[in-house]
Amino acid sequence: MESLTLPLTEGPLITARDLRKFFPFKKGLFGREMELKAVDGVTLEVAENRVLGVVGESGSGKSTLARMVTALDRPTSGDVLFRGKSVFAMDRRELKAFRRSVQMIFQDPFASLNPRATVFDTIAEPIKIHRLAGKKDIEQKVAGLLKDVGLSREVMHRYPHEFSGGQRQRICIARALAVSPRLIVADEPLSALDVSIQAQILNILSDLKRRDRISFLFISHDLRVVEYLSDEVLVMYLGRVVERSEADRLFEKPLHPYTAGLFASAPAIKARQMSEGPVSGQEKTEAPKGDIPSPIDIPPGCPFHPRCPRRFSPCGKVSPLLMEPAGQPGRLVACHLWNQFS
Amino acid sequence: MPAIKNSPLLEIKDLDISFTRAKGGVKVVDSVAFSIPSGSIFGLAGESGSGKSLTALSIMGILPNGARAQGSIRFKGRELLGLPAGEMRSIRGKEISMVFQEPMTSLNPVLKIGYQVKEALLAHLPISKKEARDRAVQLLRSVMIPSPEQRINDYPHQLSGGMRQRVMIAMAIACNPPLLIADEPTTALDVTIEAQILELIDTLRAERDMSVLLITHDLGAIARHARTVGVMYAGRIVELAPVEEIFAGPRHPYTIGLLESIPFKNKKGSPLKPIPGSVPPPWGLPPGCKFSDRCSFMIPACQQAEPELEELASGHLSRCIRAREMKWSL
Repeated sequence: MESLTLPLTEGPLITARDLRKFFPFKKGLFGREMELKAVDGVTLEVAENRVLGVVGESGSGKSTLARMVTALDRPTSGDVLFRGKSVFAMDRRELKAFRRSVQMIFQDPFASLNPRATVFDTIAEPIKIHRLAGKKDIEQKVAGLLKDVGLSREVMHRYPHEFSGGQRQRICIARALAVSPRLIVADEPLSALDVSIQAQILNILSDLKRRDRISFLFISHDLRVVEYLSDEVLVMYLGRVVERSEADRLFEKPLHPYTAGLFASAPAIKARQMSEGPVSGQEKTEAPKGDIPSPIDIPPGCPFHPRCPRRFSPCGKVSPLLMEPAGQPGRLVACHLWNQFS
Repeated sequence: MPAIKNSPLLEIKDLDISFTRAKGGVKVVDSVAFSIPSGSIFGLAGESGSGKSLTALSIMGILPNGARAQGSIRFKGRELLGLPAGEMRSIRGKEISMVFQEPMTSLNPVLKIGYQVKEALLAHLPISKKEARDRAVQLLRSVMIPSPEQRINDYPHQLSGGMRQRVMIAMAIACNPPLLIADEPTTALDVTIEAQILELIDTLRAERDMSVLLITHDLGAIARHARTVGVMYAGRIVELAPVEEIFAGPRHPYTIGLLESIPFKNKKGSPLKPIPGSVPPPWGLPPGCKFSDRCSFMIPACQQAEPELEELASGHLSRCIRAREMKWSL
């Protein structure tokens, strides 16, 4: 791989600093201007060859965050730095190089492929744009990429409708790989797929990390998948980070009640049923009650307090800061009471 | 109609469903058999295209055009297949009701939710409109919708996905049906909401002594809530067992493959062992065992004849000639 000839930088590959994205809207026809706070002050870092998982319910701002990190959307405030340089201050040439280094995979492989382009056209397009191979070598290169994602070169001249969801997602991955990216932002890449197909795709992604040393910003609502793939995890709620931690420590012992609630909601497959039998009448989960509030009407104080089982009166008034909890170096949590129940 | 003692509420035997179109028929569900006792949750698992939903639709008598069911579906001892349309209509919604995957498309967007719940009541019960309204409020309360007196005047778009699914459940249980069919009821929802909805269904089951056919691809949901599990592949039940047995010791390679596909904590760092390939279309299945072309335990005998669903231990059935050799655990 050509990138190995360059010395790998010590610093992070990508940094997002205090990102905010507010969408203005009017409540009613003559209502006053208001703001929907989709992302409200998110800071993150992805280092070389690391996977940062992002979890949270729908409406927590995960996808908006992904669009800003890939410079598809401009933040209201804050900055995204790629190898130390602001992507919003880049000139055309630099931005083109950035787009080559950062690729994206989307949730719905049915919507993210051009139905009128063959697999070859789809994968060859970025190679041509970035002039990564001569005319004669393109076919060879596309065949190699297809092989990397477990497809044979015979599929090259077929159209997307001839493929299943899992195969389409493989094509999307091959397209992202065509430019040898350093970071792949994957927004729910597995959720449209069946379980056994999910595992196939997951294996491809972890191979890319191991073999090509690609970093990932991996967005998913599936905690098992995030645990399996991530080195570090960001838990988002209503546009804010409520907890950040190394993956193993997070799954061993979540500090924020929202994280704990998410874990309790995901049905465990092992553990209980063998000894206790399946009937769950008496065993209530610690799952958060109610729905996530609308981002146009974020509760004051801690945004999670209306659903939180452990809240006390200051939670509704004072918003907790994202801080390093005592005795937990390297972790961050935004909760007044993290110490009281973990 | 009194329930017959000791016989299960729902008993399906030799159920075949085929589509008759252009060039001959295609069988998409093949000799499915299972039964659900009163007050119990039966989980039907499998990937898309395995025939789970068609099985459910055939119980409701609402198969799509061109599909034909054969065999036997007995509900409270009464045969449902071949029942006249009028009689089926009085069972559907009253005795057996169904909750679908997508709550937005199954609610009428231009009618208030109170009206839609009332409609379910008025269709089957001889009650006044006033009474129906009161019952609708009660029903919304029993599915834990906050301040139901106000919510009754909301339109579906004013509710979140989880709340809409609660309304769907309220409509489904309006006439106190002995059997509820829930077809992927939580697939479109967030994990936290999924847990709430499944817990609600389980609570209603216990309160009303209702049976539930829970169709899902989520083995976690089944592990937590179901009592018995049927795993379907290519239109057939390949394994049927009490829930604690199937997760402790699955005896069919497909079930093992599904469990191997789930990333568990202890497997971090080592590659998963997914089932290779994908589900073939119903006209492209291999001879003999329909899973043989993707199976890592395949031997030549597998493709000579299709294995029977054989009982290995009390209540634990597997459709695999090598089932007795299988040793696998989580």
